[in-house]
Amino acid sequence: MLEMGKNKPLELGASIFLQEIKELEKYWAFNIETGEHYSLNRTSYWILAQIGESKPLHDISQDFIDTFDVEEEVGVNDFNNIINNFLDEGIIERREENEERKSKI
Amino acid sequence: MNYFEDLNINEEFYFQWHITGKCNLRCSHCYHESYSSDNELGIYDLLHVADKMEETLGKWGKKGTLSITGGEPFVVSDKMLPLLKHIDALKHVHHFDILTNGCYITEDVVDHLKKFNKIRRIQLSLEGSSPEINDAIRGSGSFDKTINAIRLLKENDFQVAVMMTISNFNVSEIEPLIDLLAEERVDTFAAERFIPEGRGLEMQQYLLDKDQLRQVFSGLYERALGQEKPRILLYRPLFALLDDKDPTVGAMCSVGTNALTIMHDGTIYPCRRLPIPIGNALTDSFYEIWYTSELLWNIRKTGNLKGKCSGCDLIPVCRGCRAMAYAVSGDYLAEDPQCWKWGKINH
Repeated sequence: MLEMGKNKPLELGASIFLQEIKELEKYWAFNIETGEHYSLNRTSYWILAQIGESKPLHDISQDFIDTFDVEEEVGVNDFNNIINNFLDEGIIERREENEERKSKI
Repeated sequence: MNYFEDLNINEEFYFQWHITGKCNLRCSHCYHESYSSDNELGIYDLLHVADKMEETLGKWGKKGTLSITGGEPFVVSDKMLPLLKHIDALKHVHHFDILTNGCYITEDVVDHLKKFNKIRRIQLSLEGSSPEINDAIRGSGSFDKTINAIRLLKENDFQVAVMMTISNFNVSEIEPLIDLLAEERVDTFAAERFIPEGRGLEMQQYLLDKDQLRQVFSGLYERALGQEKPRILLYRPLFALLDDKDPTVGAMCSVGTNALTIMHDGTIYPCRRLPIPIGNALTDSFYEIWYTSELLWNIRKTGNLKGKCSGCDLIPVCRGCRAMAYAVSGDYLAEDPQCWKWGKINH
């Protein structure tokens, strides 16, 4: 379960590369190490882009609710579900895990 | 989240693999600048690259198609034949072609090639229907050697393709050449536009203008409709201008959609005719190149295209030839200078 209050900020996986083609409304996350590739919707891509900019998770959650104009409770639930999904897929990692992997490479 | 299927536009992924830069000919329109083949990969590196292709194709769920070429690939038969044997056994490689000038095709070579299950076609090049024009471009004696190679291959039931590079120098030879290829039972014919680069810079005055190209492409389309053999391949950018509803006509430029070119030293180009390095097959993963190359993304984002290609309603099926744009203007995002759409057309 996501614990936003903990001091374990999230970041993109070390091998994850984001890309978008705005005019086609196409958004992707690519893993350049394993070759996995994910098609994203605009919302998911937006969240990943924010994480890629190292913004605090709490701030991203609040901006998410404002940007996409959703009710707070619904927005928080959706946001947490998306984040957990990304964590499961290894698209994002808790920073300490990522630093450990980088040091092994 | 879903695995994406819309970045690679079809089920196939194509590698054009120039395993050597060495060549016995010096064709005047050739895109090669140097034939020295510095840092050419050895057999173990070639096998390693083939295995990387296999892994990548498997991950992407694509049918791999390869063209093995050079330079002249039979100049390095000692490497090419073991490489082909290895490729022949790869699960995700659907078929491969060999692009050759035909000078080294002998009965012994044909016997070797017969052992491969996944060989689809041998492609040779001719620039005209007689030695006069062909040999002026490709060198003395090359016409006879190519015709002999075609006959030997057909006698042994190989599929044979012939490619012609069209310029003002040989444009009048298209129809006679197709007639000759029909007599020789050649299976497919493709006309590739001459692009002034490499050695070809010296004959840039022979570049077709847009009206000439329209007439050439229209003639090919008309001929293709009534032609069984050789089948005339029309899968090239700008053919879609003739009939964008006909799925047998035209094709999106393969850059960033479903193809990569590997050079003799492992350098990867988006297309052989767009010689801008975007990685190395030995040291980089295909994933990294395909997913992160700035050049590939610049071209995929069709909003970046300039001139008449910008906002063109045919972008879903065309996009022009990025290599031609680069060769003529130095900008691979510029309009295709031979596109006749909205231009003055002489019927």
